Amino acid sequence: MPYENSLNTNYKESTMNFTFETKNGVLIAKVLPKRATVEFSADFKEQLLEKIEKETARVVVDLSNVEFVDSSFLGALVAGLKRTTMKDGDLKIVGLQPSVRSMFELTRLYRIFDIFEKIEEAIDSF
Amino acid sequence: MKQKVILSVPADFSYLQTVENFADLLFKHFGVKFKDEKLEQNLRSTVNEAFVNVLQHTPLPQGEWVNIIFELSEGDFVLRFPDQGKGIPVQEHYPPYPSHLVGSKHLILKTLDGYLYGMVESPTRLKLEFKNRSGIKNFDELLQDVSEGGMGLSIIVKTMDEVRFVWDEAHGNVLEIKKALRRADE
Repeated sequence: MPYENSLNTNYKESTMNFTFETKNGVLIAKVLPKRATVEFSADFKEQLLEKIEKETARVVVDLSNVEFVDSSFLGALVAGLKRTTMKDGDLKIVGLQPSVRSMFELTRLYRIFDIFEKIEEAIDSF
Repeated sequence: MKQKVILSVPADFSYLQTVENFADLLFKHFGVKFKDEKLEQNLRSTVNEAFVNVLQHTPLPQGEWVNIIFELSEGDFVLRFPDQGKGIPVQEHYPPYPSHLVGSKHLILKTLDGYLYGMVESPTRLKLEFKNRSGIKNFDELLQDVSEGGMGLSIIVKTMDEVRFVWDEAHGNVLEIKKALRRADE
């Protein structure tokens, strides 16, 4: 469903590792496991890019469940950010636990991602 | 006293967390003192990235095994990840590098915040070094520079003390990672 037509939460799709839903025209991708790694990063990236292409380029990725992230998953987030900015959108990050935040600091990814504590703050920032 | 453990696991991503957990247990068995939570996390990240590097970037037939060698001696922890690749090319030369390249430094990849270089220490040893990028860039320039891949090796180099690719005829190409550690009994 195009984001222009969605005012509130309009659908939810779930896999074992992540869910997608739209709220107020913003796609929210929530990562469910404690580990966000190469084990499902390619699948996440593929589905994320497809949704950006077909639905909306305004995206929030909720990492509040995640305690460990590797470079493969960070690469998937970078791919998502690049695709959203190509379409005049943005990809924002929510809910970094300290161990994950330290990876964003180590890789300096915090310089290209807007990072928020709560989903509502990220949605309102668009 | 030198302690050495060799782990052999199938070349399969489904073993990733098991390898990380094994390494974590082994560090503790060796008496490594994790006063700093970051060190524990960095070692886990290093094992993750190095294992994935072998699986993703080197030729490994399905069903092949990955060996990981853990060594502790004199307070230094050494991890070795042999692979079946040809090593890192320097000016189109794979190891053993020609003698005229010894002592030279070469850009391997760019990351968001810097450059990963390879210093040719000898025909069979390439030491990896990370150099931070100077100057402030705007968002568009940063986004242009950042790539989806290449972060793994830079994470290892930034968090460990010495990282190099070592080549020998018996083992092929080996990613060798060193970290100075404090023991629990110190």
